[in-house]
Amino acid sequence: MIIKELSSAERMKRLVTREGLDRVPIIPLASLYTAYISNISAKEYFLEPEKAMEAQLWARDLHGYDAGPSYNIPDWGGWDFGGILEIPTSPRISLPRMVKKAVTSTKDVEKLEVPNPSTAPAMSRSLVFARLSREKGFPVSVWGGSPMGIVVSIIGAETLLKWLRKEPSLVHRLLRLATDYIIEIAKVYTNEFGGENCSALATYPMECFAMMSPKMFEKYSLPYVIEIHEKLIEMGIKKWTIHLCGDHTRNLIHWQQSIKLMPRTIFTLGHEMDMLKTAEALGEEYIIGGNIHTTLMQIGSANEVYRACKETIEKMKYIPGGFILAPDCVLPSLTPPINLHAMVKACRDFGKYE
Amino acid sequence: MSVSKEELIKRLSDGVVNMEEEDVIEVVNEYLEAGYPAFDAIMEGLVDGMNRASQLYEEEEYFVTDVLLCSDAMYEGLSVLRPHLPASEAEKVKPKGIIGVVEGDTHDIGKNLVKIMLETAGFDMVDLGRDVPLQSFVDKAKEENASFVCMSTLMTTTMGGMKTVVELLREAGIREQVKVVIGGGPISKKYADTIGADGYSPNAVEAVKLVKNLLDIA
Repeated sequence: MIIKELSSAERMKRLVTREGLDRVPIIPLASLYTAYISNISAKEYFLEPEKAMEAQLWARDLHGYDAGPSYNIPDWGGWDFGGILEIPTSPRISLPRMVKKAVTSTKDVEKLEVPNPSTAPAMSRSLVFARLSREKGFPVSVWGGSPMGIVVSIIGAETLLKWLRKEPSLVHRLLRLATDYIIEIAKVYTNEFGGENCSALATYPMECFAMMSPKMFEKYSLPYVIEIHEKLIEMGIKKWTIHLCGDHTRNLIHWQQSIKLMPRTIFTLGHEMDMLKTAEALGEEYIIGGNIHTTLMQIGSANEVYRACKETIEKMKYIPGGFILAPDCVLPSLTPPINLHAMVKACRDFGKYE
Repeated sequence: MSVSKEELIKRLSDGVVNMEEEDVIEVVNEYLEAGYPAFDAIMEGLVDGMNRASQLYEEEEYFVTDVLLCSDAMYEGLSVLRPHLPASEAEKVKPKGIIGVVEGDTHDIGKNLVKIMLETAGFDMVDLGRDVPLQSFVDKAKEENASFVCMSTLMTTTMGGMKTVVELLREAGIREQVKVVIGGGPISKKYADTIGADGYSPNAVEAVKLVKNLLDIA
């Protein structure tokens, strides 16, 4: 049976409830890209959530993709813990950079405290964006991890990698603080918006195989990830998106066996992972999203993007858990708009269910 | 009874592989006190240890953490041994490379790993650090008479800087003498070809093979 064209909200809802879809949904993970095509600067986008919301809504309307508005400041965790974040004004589209880390020595760790989400520089802005989302009828996105990602933002990746061997107790203390902060944020969000209106987003760049061994993931990250999932689910947060950035194939066993997952959790995958095999490993209860290479999105031609999307859709559209077409990470900010159009067009042309 | 040179060299190599900075310094001091030549301790001890660590990394026995700590041990030993090198060795000309993370980006783990591996392989690397103004790659390559330039970035917003460096090298009239190698999360062979770089490497181990290949070094 052919299903008539659905709205984005209906499509995403029916993907979760398995009621049948008109076509494969598209989530382009568009962040600063929306500022790029809206003629506002990165500084305005990240520091003024009202402008970010406008840019998000215009971009969504222009391209007709299915994702709701989203807002995330890179290195937000380190900023909230006391680091100094700079957002360059030139070029107009530049990513923020941490010019002073919150922790530069082992002694600094003792002084760290869990920030107040309502007043911390990044999270207070995320809350403003969340309120705007609710006003416009969208769910709000609440941070679900990873705690290791926050620790990287606090001390820097190279220090973290060395401390994993040399200062394990300090790494655990930092992970404890990051975990407590994630839980505190979730409390604030669920109190204000209700768990049923919150959707958790967790990203895992640091835990990929290129950076960290599976043993280190198990020893350091896993206990905290288990705790976060249990507590946030207890708070009523039932919708989850987990982005496995890079290759996490050898850690999948923990997602299968140890970490509490809500049914219909969405896993978006890096291009390093085989989506079919991952879908099979995780099981039919979960939705897979991915994984068009972001470099292709930025430097490829529209025809190349269109062909890559066609290939991916044809490979993945009938997997039992359901499929979302997405890039393999956040859409590059300088993606030519025609390439995102090519992605959407490929989905319309080849993603229909019959 | 004094310990043999071979035994001390083996302990240096093991110290690097086992990431034992303090052991390495202790053995280096013992080695120098015994009057053995510094050059052999570097090449057969420290560099050998780092080569073993690279091999373990390639075999996925070691991870980034391990390589970084092995290199810390190697550099600690080097800092003690270098002043004891005879002038002829210290001044020996090695192929020189410039390395850095392009302007706008401060992610430097990948760059640091590549630098470690290239230095271990015998290249003389000038590290410009991270968030490097694009013109600096060219100025430094000229000043140092470098054979190659390595650039990395993790961010898609800054990868365009690599193309600018290639153009600046051309404008400076040294593009033919300087090989350009790029890498980093969003970088690909296709991108290297698009901007006219000489090569792309997906990781630090491959970077050594690539540079050797480009410079025609066995």
